[in-house]
Order: sequence, then C-alpha cells, then structure tokens
Amino acid sequence: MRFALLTFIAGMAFAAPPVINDLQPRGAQKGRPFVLTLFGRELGDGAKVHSTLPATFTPMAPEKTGPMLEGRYASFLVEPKESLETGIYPIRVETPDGISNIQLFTVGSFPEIAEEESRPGSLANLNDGIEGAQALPSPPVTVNGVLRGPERDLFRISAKAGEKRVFEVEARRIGSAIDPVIRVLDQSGKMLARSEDAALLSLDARVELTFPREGYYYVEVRDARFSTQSASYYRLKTGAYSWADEIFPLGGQRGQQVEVAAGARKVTADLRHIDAKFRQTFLNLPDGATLPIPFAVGDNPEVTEPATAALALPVTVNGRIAKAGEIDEYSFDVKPGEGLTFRMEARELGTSKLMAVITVRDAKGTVLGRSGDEPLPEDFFNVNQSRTAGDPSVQVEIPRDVRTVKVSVEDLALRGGAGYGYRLHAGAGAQDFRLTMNVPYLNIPAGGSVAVPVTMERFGYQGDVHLRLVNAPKGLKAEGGYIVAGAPVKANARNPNSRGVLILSSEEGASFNASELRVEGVGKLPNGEEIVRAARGLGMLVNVAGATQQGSVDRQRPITAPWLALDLPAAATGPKPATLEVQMVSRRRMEEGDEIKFRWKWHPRDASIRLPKTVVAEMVGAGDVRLIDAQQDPKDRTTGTFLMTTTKLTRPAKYDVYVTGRLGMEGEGEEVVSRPISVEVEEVKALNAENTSGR
Amino acid sequence: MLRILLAASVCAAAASAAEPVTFLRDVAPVLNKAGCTSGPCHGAAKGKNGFKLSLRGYDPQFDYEALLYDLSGRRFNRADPGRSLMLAKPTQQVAHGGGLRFEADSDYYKVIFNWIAAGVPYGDPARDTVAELQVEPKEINMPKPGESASVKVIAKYKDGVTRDVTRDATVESNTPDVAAVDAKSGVKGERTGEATLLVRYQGKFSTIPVTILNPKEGFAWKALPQHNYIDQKVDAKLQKVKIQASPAADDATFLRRVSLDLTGRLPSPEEVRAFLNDRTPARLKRARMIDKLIASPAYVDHWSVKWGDLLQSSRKYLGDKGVYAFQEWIRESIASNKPYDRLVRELLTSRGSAYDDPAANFFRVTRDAKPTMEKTTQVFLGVRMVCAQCHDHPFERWTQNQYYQMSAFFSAVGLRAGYEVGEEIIFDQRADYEMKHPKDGSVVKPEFLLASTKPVPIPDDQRRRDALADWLASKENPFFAKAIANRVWSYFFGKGIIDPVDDIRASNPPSNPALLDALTKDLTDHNFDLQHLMRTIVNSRAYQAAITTNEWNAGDGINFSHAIPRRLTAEQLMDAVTAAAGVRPNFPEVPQDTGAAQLPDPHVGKEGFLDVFGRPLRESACECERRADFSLPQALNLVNGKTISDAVADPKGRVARLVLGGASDQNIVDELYLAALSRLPDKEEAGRGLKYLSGGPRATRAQDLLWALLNSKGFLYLY
Repeated sequence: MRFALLTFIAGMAFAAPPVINDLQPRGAQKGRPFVLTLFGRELGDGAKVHSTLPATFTPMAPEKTGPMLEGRYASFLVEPKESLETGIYPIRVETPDGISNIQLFTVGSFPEIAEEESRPGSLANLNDGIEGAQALPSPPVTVNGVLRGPERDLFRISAKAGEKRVFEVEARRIGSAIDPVIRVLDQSGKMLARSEDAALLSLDARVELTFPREGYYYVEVRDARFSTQSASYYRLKTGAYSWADEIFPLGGQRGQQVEVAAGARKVTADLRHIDAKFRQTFLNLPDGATLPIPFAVGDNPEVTEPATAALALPVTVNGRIAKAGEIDEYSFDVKPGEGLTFRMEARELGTSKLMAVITVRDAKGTVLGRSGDEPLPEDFFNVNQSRTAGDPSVQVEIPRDVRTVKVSVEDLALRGGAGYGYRLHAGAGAQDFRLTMNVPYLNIPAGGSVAVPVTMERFGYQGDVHLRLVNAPKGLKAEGGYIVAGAPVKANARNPNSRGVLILSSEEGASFNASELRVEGVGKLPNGEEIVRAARGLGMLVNVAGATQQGSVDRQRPITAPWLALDLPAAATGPKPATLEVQMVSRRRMEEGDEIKFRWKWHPRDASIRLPKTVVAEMVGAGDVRLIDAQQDPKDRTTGTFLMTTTKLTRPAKYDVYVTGRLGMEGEGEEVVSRPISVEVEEVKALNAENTSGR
Repeated sequence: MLRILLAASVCAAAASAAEPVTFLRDVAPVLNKAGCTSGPCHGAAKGKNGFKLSLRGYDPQFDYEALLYDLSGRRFNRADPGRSLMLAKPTQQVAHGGGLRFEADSDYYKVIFNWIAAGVPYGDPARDTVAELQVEPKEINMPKPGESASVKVIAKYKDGVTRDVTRDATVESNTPDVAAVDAKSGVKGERTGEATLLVRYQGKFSTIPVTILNPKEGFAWKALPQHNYIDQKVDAKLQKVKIQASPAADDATFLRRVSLDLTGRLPSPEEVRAFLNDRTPARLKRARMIDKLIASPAYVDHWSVKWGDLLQSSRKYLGDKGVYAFQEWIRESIASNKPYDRLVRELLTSRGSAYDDPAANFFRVTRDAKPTMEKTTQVFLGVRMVCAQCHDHPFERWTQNQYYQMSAFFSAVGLRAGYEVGEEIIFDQRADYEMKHPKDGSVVKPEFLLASTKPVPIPDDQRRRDALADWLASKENPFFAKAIANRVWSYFFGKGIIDPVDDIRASNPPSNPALLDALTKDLTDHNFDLQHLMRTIVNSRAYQAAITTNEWNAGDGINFSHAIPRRLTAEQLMDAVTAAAGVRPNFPEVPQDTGAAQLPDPHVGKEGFLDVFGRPLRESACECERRADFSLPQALNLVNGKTISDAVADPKGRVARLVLGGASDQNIVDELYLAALSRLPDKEEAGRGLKYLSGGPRATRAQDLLWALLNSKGFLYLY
C-alpha cells in the first residue's frame, strides 16, 4: 500500500514547498567562513536562503547525487560580514514552490568541533560512559553534539588544580527539543557540579566550577527526561568566560537607551531604533562568549523601583523581589469609574523566575483585584502557550471616591533574590485581548485553502472578535475568523471561546510573491468603540515529544520564536491533488439543540487519487458540539455526510464550519482544507421540530 | 481477637446506692464491654439499624447524645426504667439484631437501670473520666510454657477515685501462640518466646510484656566478642531470655551480605578473591570493606531506591522531568550524607517550583493536607494516623482531633501549575486555608501530636509547616530519631526492633527497648548521621552473625541472635543476575548500562521481571508495598523466563567470555560460583561441577551450571 502511495505521489508530481529538517553544522565561530548544509525535502535547484545572518550564501554543487538524494540537501558557502555578532539567526529557504520552515543557526566566539558520535556513519553510543568519553581539546571550545534517544554524552577534559571553568549547553535557546542537564564528574564518577534550567538560559544548563586537583574530569550532557526528540542537537561550550545570572531591569522603553546591570557588569541597551513590531531585543555582553540575553521592549513611560510617589498612568514599573518574602508596593493615581489593567511580565520574558501575585487595593486596604494565586488560565488550543500562561494580570473598575490605588507584587511561593525581576504594566482600559497565530508560516496552494488558527487570551474583554487579513495580495481571499464571545478562561477550562480560524483561499492560477501576511482581530467595546489587535506570529514551531512508553504524563511546550517578530510569512505554491468543499444540507431543531447535517465533497484533479473515507470537521469555538454519523457515500466515494449536534450549552452565535481531509497514508500525505461556511446557532427555547432546508 | 473476662473479681461497677451512676463512669464501659460500640455493631461507620455509636466508645459525648436524642428520646422510660428500649433490646425482651448482650439479672442491667432511674446523668468529665490505667503485674515471666498468670486492672479517675475494672477491661495478646489470654485461666504460656499484652479500658491503654523461657536445662551463656554497644544490648537481652547467639559468619558470607545490604550489588569475583586473600585481622578487614562500600556509587544507587520508595518518587505523580529531578535530589542527599533531620526539614519546608527545588515534589505526591500528614507521620515518625481520620485510634492514644490538628500544618499548602508544562509551584495559600473539622466544620488550629520538651511556637498564619518541621525533625521529638533508627536497623536484619517499622505504638513495643534507645541516642549524638548509624550496625557482631543456629536460638526470630535469610529485592536480584552473568543491563528509555537500582521509578520496565519480584509501584509510603514473598510466577520466571535464560546465553556474557578465553573447567566452575554465590565451591560442589562440564558440550553445560546457580537459594537469598 505504501508503495502504491509513493507511486501515486511521484506520478502526480505535484509541486511541494521546501522543508528543512536539519542544519550541519548547527553553529560557527564568528568571523570565519564555513560551509552550511541544509537537510530536508524539496531543497533542489533554485533554493535561496533567507536569513538575518549578515553573510553571503553561495550555493555549492552537491557532493553526492542520485534519485534518492535529489532535493534532500543543499550546501552553501557562507561568508559572514564583519558586522556579524554572536547570536542566533533564522535560516529559511525559498524555492519557486514556496517557503520552508525556519531552523536556527548559532554564531559563537569559540572554535567549533563536532561530537564524534554525531558524525554521519559513526557508531551509536560511543561516548555514553566514562570509558568512551570523547577527549576535548584545550578550551575554549564549542562541541556540536546530538543526543540520539535515551543516551548521555560524555566528554573528557583535563584541568589544573584551582582552574575555573564554565560549561554551558545551548539547546532550547537555539531551537532544539532537548531539555539539557549538564554534570561534571571526577574520575571516579562522583558528581562535582550539576545544572538544569539555569538562570537566564530558558531550559538550558550552565555550571561554573573550580577544579580541586589536576587531572581528567568528565562532562556529561543528557536530556532531563532521556526523551527521544527529532530536533535533538546541542552545543556544549566550555571555557573561562564571564556570564550573568541576572539582568535588571528586564526591559526598557522603545526609543531610549537603558543602562542594564548584567550580573556585576553594566551594559547599555540601545532601544532607539527598535521597530514597533518588536517586543523584545537581545543584549550582548561585552566579551560575546554567551548568547545574547533577551530584553523586553515596551512603549509606556518607565520607572524603576523604588517609586515612592504615586505614579501616573500609563506606566511600566521595573522592580525586583530582592529577598525571600519581600512584597513591593506601588501607588497609582486613578480616576473613579475608569477601567484599568495591571499586567505582569516576568516568567514569560525568560529572564525572571518570579511567579508573581499582584493585588490591587484602595487606600483603605480593600482588595479591588488580585491575580496569581489562583490557577492560571489554561488553554488547550494555544500552541504557543501549551496550556499554561505564565504571568498574571488584573482588570479593575475604579470605585467611586477612589483616587489612588496601591498595587503589591510578591512571589507566589515567597521566594526572592537574584533573578526575581519583573515589569508591571499599568494602563487604562479594563478590556483587552491578545491574539496569537498557531501556524508559523504558510504555503498557500493555487486554487486551494489553508487554515490559520488563532488563539485569543482575554484580559477582561468578553465580546466577539472577528479576524481579518489586513494585507491580502491579489487573488487571496480570507473567510471565517469568528471568535465568539465567552466567559473568562478559568482554571482548567478548555474554553472554546478563545479560538478562531481564518481560512485563506487562493484563486485558481493566482500567484503572489512571498510576503508577510498581517492578521488582526476586531472587537467591540460596550461603548461602541472598536478594539483592534494584531495577531502575533510564532516565528517558528518545533514540536517537543513528551509522551513515552513509560507512561509519561508530561507534554512539553513547543518551541517558538516570537522574538523574530514575524507576522505570517506566506508564499504561493502549486495546487494540491484535490480540493474539498463542505455544505449544510439540513437542520433539525431538537429539544436540546440543533441537529445539522453537512455534506463534504472532494474535487480530485486526477481520478486515480485515493480519497479518504471521512474528513475532520470543526464548528470553530462552539462548546458542547458533537460530530456523529460521518459516512462516505457508498455510491460516490468523493462525497459523504456527517451530523453536528448542538445543545443548550452551545452559545447562540455565528460559527465557522470547515472540514479537513488528509490525502495519502496514515500520518503522511497532504492535508486539504475546505473553505468555511457560516452557521448560526440560535437559542434553544422550546421543542421545535421544524426542519429547515440547507443552503 | 480475644476479648475475655480475666478474673472473676467482684465488679465494683455494680452501682451501689451511695455512688451516683453516670454515663461516663459507669454506662459507657458497659456499652463497650457488651459489644454495642464494636465495629460490626453500632460502632460501624454508619451505625446499625439506624443507631450509631462511636467506635469502641471513643466519643462518649456523641454516644450519650445519640442515646438521648435519637428516636426522639424514646430509648428511656424514666418512669419505668425496666421498660426502656435501652434495656429491652440488649436483653432481647424486644427483637434485637445484635442478639442477647446481657441478662436481665446481670450487673450490667442494674447499672443501666439505675442510671435511667437517676435521670440519665452524663457525669462530669473533670471527675468521671479515666485518668490512668494501672496494671499488675508490670511484667510476666514464665520459666516454661504451660504456666499461667493473672492480671489485675485498676482505673484511676480524674477525681482520684480508683476502681478495679479487671472484669470490664479488654486484654489482648499480640502473639497468641506464645501467650494466650483466656477467660478462665488468665494468661497462659503456650510456647517459648515473647509476647505483649495490650490492656484497654475507656480509651486508656497499658501493656504487659510476657516472656516464656526455654525450659531446657543446661543453658550456660557463652560470651562472644562484642564489637560495640549493639552487641552489649543484644547480648543482655539474649542472656535474659536464655538464648545463645550464633558466632560471626565467615568472610565470604559477610562480604556478600554486607555488599548486598549496603550497595544492593554482589561483589565481583575479583573482589571476593581479594577479600578472602586479605590477611588483615577480620574485624579490621571488614571495617575497611564497610567504609569502602559506603563510599561507593552503588551505595547511592541502593539507598536512592529505598528513599524513592518511601517518598513515592514516581512519574505518575511527578511527571517525567519531575521524577528525574526528585531522584537526583535524593541521590545528592545520600551521596553527600545529608543529615537526616536536614533532609526531612528540606522536604517539609520546600517551596517554589518543583523543578527548581525538587524537594517540593514531596507535596506533589499526596497533594492534600490529610494524606500529606498521614505520609509525614508514617514515614518520619513511624506513626500511622489514618485510623484517626474517622474516629479516635482504637489501639493508640491518637484522637480524631489530633488527626485534624496535625493535618492543619499542611492545610495552607497550595499547588499550582507553573509556567513550564508539567511544572508545579508549591506555595502557602494566603486565604481560605484553615483545616475544618468534619463533625461541625469548625476551624482546627494546628497542634503537635505531642508536646516537645523544647517548645516550638506555631505561627498563626499560613507558614505553619515550618514550625512542624522544627518540632518533627528535632532531637527532642520522642518518635523522630527512634523511627529512623528502627527503620534503618530493619534494612539490615529484615525486621525492626519495632515491627512493622512504620507502626510504632504502645501496643507494638520494641523487642529490645534498650537496644533501640541506644541506637536512637547514638544517632542524635551524631547529628542524624545515617552513614554513622549504618556503619555502627554492620560492624556489630550481631549483624555479622552466621545464619546457622544452635539449640538455644533456633526458635528465635526477634532477638537478632542469628542471621535470618531474606529474599533479594527485585532490584538486587535483577542487578545480581546481570552481574553474575556478566551482561549489560538494558532497560527501555534509559541509557544502556542503567542498572535496576538506578532506574528513576517503577514505570521503567513496568510489568516485567522487577514487578514480578515485588518492586513497589510507589502508590503508598508503606514499607509493606514492597513484596518479599516467593510466588509461583516468580519461580516460573526464574526457571523459564527470558531474563535468566538470555543472560546466561548472552554472546558477550560471562560464560561466553570464559569459554572463548580458554578457561579451564576448574576455572569456569570457580568463576561461576564466585560470580553467583560470592564464594568458591566446596570440594563436593566443585567435583559435581567438573563432572557436569565434562559430560557434554562445554559452553552449553557451563550455561546450564550458571542457570542452576542463579536458580539456587544461595543466589536468591541474602543470608
């Protein structure tokens, strides 16, 4: 069967966009030219590299050729420009058939070597124990390694008595799904130092130690779960270099220069030329040995603690819980009747460990709002956040006669010290929302459709939102995009009212250049004013495997790169082997809700295409909806029907219904998306067996 | 359970006209003795036939109100007490599901009759409550089985009045086949040994130790070398009960035993040879080996399994990342020989992300205040509080109020999802955290189980568990050091001085109190240094005693006069198979060469060899979850299972290496014995081994020999 499918796909020869699965090497030393090889699919002739890496990418002829290798890799001679700095850079490829995903490439300041075991053709598990540990050259050095499944990699180093050395693993920060743990062992295997989730390093690890005596030591790198990941690379860096475990403040105002304490050193964050779409930049420490540190960028006026006088709104307060149990407090001038939002930024920035609790009180001490000590919102649909949001926010309506409020900030578990900084944003408006697109990029097939799922975080705003495409090129049409009104997302509530799907459809034969599409959500406030928010892009998306055969209960957050500040990169690609259509056939009013019958219809471009027996349907954002009785038409395999039932718990609103189907074998093939249709769900009032005809 | 009347002494409870009859002093004991408050009757959780009394009368106020107000008070006919339901039912003048409880002409009847006639007075708890129970004799020693003794029980009330309650008290033996309790003959010695009598009356307890000596003539204590205070205490008890200890085991047996006990691993053939050939005096040589084993990485592996069990380290509760982090915390604690009081303090006071502070995983397992308290008291104090959740503990002093007071120390502990997926934050809630009593919903403030000799203030806010840690993990706590000393002891002898080790109570006294006190003092004197405690134990002659017995100690199972064989634990057995067969362990989803004792939790290799041999799922903190039995599936697994058969036939295994290396038959036999049994074969074993090897294909027969050794008791047991 699998053979038949391959034959079919080859025979049909539909154009496919490029995909990058791996880069070799994963990084390079600053200032040196190098050869970069991309591995993946559809990387053949005409592949152009798009990157912010200041360098020229000259295509090289493939070393090996053959039908099985065609399009599987592409090599480039990379000549960095002098302006190249230590950092992480996105690599994307564009071909005539579309754009690829992004892989991250790292530029460091140390000489680079490869882990022997990760070289092509090498035996597995070469350096899993002390006996087989790979000897490293004198520091500084960066080792590019790979963890293949549940293994540990060991490296042998020699050190002198009293020598101080830093060991650091770059993985999550550079797009790898590894959650690294680093251990330093003596010759007997006794552990001298260990690190996991080091300060300022996301989930990455770093230890610094002074060796007690001269001799051999061993550095072990492993995954915190011994999990098996597709993106399983890491970079082990060792040398004697300075680093910071805290920065303060955690961000600054756009257009300003900000002095930042990075550990014991001071650096200047130059935010004068940061584009409005960036909410984050990076700080390079002077010696450039460490990767740049994330630094938030805001638009409010900023103050830094201590702030004894009452603050005027809007403002961003930079503070820090300096010791365990400390509670910071700020006063704000407010107006009776106005709505305010106090929003914390700490854990989500990646530069703070603070799990904040914020409490808003009036001058008498009456609590007006509090957040952070209750379960934070979870959102099943939110790819970016993967269930749990990080930082709390409070929306309050200022009562009559209240002209000053006090806002206290503390750590949920009463911790504090280095690494417990925060940014407290205070501003007008008790109703807001944030939108995130859950796909990092799109290749839109000619004559076909693609779905852009968008997740919404509500900050006091409970109304409808309609998504729209702001800069649609000619020939591209946006439909659907309704996010129905909903209650706030509560603990463990898989709130369906926080998701919308915008369907983009390309006209047959339409062609447009690769560009960034902008999606906005429009809501309406009770006073009739519109509230418009741009949907944020993911930049990239790397899935992290969680479930294991051992009965794992963890799922891990996917890796994204919102710091790239990309909206929705999109390109036109060739048509898919078939298109899909959905129609409403009938509606029956039942005592508990509606029973709506739909029909799907495939439109294959070739009669030989093997079509799936069923499709997946969604009434976007509708709660308590069941999909039943899906069946293919026995006489016409291109079509079939399914029923959707609603209940009294389904909120009356206008919903988008669309279907998706997968052509090919399980887990392979192409996903095809239909255009949406609009379905109105009305309030269930009484038994009404009225039938309505379909549209 | 035997409940008997001990002596036909005159019942002072038969109320005289001069003494006012009260519920507290007179009626409640009747209800208990007549069985009305027992579990199968009205003491059941939901009562019986609509009438509920507290279990074994632990709550007299509740029982009194039940009698008074249930059925709208129709249980009494104060004008004609004899027509009261409360008398008509137990005497079966009207139908009674519980049958006849006492006769109409009995003393019990009269007590209740007089009480009703007097207007059903409750009594004054300040006067009518039993303050103390006095028993006589304090100790029973019988020179031989077959002898009898009687017991007298005196209740002393709060007003100073004493009453002989022998007839109404309940006396039970914890070992009836040693000391039986009988209504007619009192306490009877059944066989040589020791037992404890538990005497109960109106919520008060007392115990009487019973010793029945070996009647055999000719016992003459032969002093053996005493290595340290342990041997002094053990010998003192042995001498008293006429038991002669076995001498120390030989070097090979010692090495195997101490290696398995301290590190969970078998010594390698090279280590066995080196130890046997070492001519250093035995005690010094053994002491050095003990130090070496304690300093080895395998020591960390082995004790991490034990603490992983007790702390229930499992990804079921902690997730993948959490379980590795918690295991690493446990391993680091053991490797650094973290003082035990500090370890417990870290667990109880941990806050923040369980990823950053893995000790906080302690709270992720049980999650709620009550099970956390039950786990805390059971693991760290050896006290089981679970019974007291619904009623006062039936065999111990712990009350239901104390259950909730202790739980209140954890009532503020909150758990909330953190930022990373699977991460949880452990914190102290700022509101709505008070513990509520199930009876009336009233707030229960935290209170220690026992007052400490060194008072610990309890804060009035949510940060109360810090105070609990101060109280619990202190030298002054009468349970804390004793519980861990006893538990550690049990790991080396297969039995605690108090056994089960996590059920310390008055009715379960130590077999050698002086020994337990000495161990406890040694531990606190050395600031809870568990390595010191272990080192002291395994250096003792008592630990090093041979398994062989003599005519005086063959029947002894509680006084540590000889070694008692123990089946290897699942992890010990798995690692022993791997080591003996010379193969590399290979569990799924962990790096190759990860041994069974290094696995993070029971989810690795689930439902395989380890589970068959009793690896606990870590669903509870009870030592009893780890099975040490021997079952048919285990036997079948050993005989037919892939684990053993694959190991002996491994192409890179010991047999293959010996054969390919050109080892002689003698060499093969010696090596296989050394690898599996940690000793050389004796002459007969060697001869049979050589004969077998020469009888067919050498490699196959060498595999057979190894297979047979792995299936022998000498391999499967620690002795």
